[in-house]
Amino acid sequence: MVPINKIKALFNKRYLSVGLFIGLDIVFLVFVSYLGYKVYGIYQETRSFEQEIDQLKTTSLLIKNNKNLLQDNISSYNDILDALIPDGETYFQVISALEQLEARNGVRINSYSINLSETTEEKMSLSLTISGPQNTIESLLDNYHYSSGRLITNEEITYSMGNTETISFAINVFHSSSDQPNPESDVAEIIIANEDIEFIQSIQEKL
Amino acid sequence: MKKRINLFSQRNENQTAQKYLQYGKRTTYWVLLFGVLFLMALFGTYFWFNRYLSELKNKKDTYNRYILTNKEFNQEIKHFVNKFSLLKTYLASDAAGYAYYKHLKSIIKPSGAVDTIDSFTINNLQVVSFSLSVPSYDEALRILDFFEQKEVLEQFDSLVLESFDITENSNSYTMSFNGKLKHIEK
Repeated sequence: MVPINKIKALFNKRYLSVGLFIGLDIVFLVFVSYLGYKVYGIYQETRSFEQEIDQLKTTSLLIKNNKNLLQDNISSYNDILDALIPDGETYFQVISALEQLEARNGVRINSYSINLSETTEEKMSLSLTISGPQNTIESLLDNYHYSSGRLITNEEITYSMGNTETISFAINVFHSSSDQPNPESDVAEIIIANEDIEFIQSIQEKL
Repeated sequence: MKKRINLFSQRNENQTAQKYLQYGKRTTYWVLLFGVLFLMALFGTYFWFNRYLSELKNKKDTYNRYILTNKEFNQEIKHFVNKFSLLKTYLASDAAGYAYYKHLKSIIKPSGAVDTIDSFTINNLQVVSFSLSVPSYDEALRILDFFEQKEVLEQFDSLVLESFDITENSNSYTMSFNGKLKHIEK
């Protein structure tokens, strides 16, 4: 059994004051920890708000910077871009583009084959064998980018002057879903300039 | 019955206890003092963040209202920017071969040898190879002199004469060049 004297000693003035302070310390530390936790929570919340605001700011700037120039005709510009780079790709779209390429340039596409090694999710690479008089072949080489109604690119060309009746021509056609933003573009930086609009309008004339 | 009583033993124990008590008291005071200061700092931080958060909320609402007002245009412009940047990216991979072919012809034109171009190959990095065929040795030397001129070489990042072939019986001298043309605006 604990002797009465020792219990009394515990409640001695000195011990009691220290005990009280220890108690207060513990309460303080618990409170400080709780408040620290709350501050960390609110800090995380502000960080998340800041990120959201950055995105909203980017969107707002994009609207603000381009509204005056594009507001009236943006739908028609989008139609042009959708024609050049459609959201999806079908066999018939490609055939139709090749037929238009033939008709617009006065050449004949004798054969075509898909370059599987060069074809990617968004790019179809085709190898064409084209025949026609030199002037029509040169017209094709000059105008292939848009004259099929689609965007066509060529990464390497070999042109032999002695044999211009027939050439091999590798082309790429593209498609891309609107939901997949171009990773190479920084939207916040984009300000559409008058030259860009003129460029789109010049394409429109060639389609 | 005890013969002697050590009157200091109890006192020594009390002194040690008091010493620890003093340490304890001092520690608890300091802990309390720093606790209070830290608590005040935390309160300050908490209120500052609260105020900042409310500012951010206002900002977010403002942006949201602006975007909502321009909802249709917002969708259109995002679509436009995406497809337009793709268009530029894809066009950047184009060789624009015919534009460079015409450019090469304009470079060669002063030599009067435009019609002697036999073949022309170029890729999207402007790495070019072309060959010229002329009927006489003197003509071939004259063309080589022409390609050594400063104004001509300025049009290329690099240019080397890859081969100089003579076709027997047909009197044809073929010069094949490899190099890299300087970028031109297409």
